[in-house]
Amino acid sequence: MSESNEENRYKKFIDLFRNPKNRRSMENPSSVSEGRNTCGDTIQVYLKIEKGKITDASYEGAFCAFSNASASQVTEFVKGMEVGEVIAIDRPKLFELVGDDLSDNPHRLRCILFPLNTIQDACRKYQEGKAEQDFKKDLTDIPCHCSTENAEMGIE
Amino acid sequence: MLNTEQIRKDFPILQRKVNGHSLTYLDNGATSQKPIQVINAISGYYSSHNANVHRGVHTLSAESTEMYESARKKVAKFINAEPEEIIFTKNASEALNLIAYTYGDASISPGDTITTSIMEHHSDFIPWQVLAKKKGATLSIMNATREGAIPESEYSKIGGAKLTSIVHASNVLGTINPVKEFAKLAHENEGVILVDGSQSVPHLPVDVKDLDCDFFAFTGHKMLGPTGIGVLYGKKELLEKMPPFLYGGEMVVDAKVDGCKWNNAPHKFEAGTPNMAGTIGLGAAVDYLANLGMENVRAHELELLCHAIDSLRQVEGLEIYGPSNPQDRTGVLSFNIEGLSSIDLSSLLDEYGFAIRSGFHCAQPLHDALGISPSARISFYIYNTKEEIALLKSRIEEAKKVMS
Repeated sequence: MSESNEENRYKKFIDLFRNPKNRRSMENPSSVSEGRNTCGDTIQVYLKIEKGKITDASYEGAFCAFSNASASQVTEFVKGMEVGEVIAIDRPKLFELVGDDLSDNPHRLRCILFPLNTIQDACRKYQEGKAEQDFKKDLTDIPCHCSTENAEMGIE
Repeated sequence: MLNTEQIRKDFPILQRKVNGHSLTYLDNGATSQKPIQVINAISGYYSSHNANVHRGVHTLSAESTEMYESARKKVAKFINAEPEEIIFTKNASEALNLIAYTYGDASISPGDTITTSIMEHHSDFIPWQVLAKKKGATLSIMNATREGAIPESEYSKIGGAKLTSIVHASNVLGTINPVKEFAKLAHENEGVILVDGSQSVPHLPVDVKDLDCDFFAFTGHKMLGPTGIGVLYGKKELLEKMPPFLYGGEMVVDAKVDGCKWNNAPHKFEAGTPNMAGTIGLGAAVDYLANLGMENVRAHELELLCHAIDSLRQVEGLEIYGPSNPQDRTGVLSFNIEGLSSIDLSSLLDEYGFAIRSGFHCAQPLHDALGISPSARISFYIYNTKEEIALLKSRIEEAKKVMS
């Protein structure tokens, strides 16, 4: 029986999803983010950041082989990078990391994109949190009563 | 029993190749394929009869109106309702939302209870979640067992509800709920019950009078009809009392500067030019199914289901969700395979021409409650065969090898 394109692709990824790098939890991460793909797959991303640089990155969750391969490659790549550099990672770079642009299977593109998007979201959260901390540091003498609430469903 | 060989000849799409292989279409829970009779009815309508309905006295308008209303009669007969109890909508979601926006908005007050279940499709869950929040009402959710049935201990939640909305057959588990019993419970407590029949009407004989539900929603595209046409059945006395849904043409009989007099049901709920071709296509789909006989459709699917359960159970690491007794479910099988995500399985099968569904199937609360990952789902219809199931099993085994 001849192998299909998809089977060949899976075989190409096989080492990545059999032995993923960084698929683990993390204690005391500097930033976390949870991503959900449209198919229902989920990923939790953890980043350890020191002086604006990623010193460790890991992930866990329930996802497909493509997402796993992508998350493994991207978490490995971002170690040592500045937070801003991670946010600037574009699709061509991602395709290079994953070794595939899925041009013949575009409906699976989201599978390799969503781990990167979630990592970038964790970086943005870190930046925003840091900005908030700096802001609060400037306002230490002023009592603050602000609180964050979960976004409602747009209903009064 | 159905003559599958003959039936398959009516479905042009079954002749096509997908990735070089014959199409094995097992995603009927998402949408069914269309027989040539339905395709011809739509094309014939546009080729020879197209005109707006209920608006002109010219020949084409009269023909179009006659065809449109004739489809309403066919749909009514199919579920044992009266034609004036059949409202055409764009899909089941709109039919369910129509009740939330009309009956629900007018009748639910702060402190009231709306009851639904954990096994609802999002279309029969979110409208009630939103309505309850908007009205300060309580949303009561009947839970399901691991086997996919609503236990009797949950039935009391219907008794306390002003409005219950419940799925007739689950699009994930296949569970057929005892909606006749639920209707009795609702009525004993002066409640009203809406049933989402999107996954039952295409696959089982349905008699709304026998079920005694107050409202019943379903969609055309899952029962051989075109997309963009859905149905809401409502008991006449309730429809007459309800406020309109959308405003515009057709739903009004007397429009004056200082106020309007609404048309009677069902037209009161059909503002604007309706989906005429879609309705006529649905009429042809109903003819097709009625000709086969829904008892025969059910028997065919049950046979496939039993065969598929026996076959897939042999696959190591494969867990099937839902009732273990095939009699308690429709031809829908959701499952997961250890170490092979549903989307990977779906992708690998697609390479061999199989169309199966993967993900949450628009029923995320159910997956969360059962604590399961997004699942793979196969769902049968009148053109599926045992040979396809045998082929599916061998392809699943192949997919497992790729990933091991």
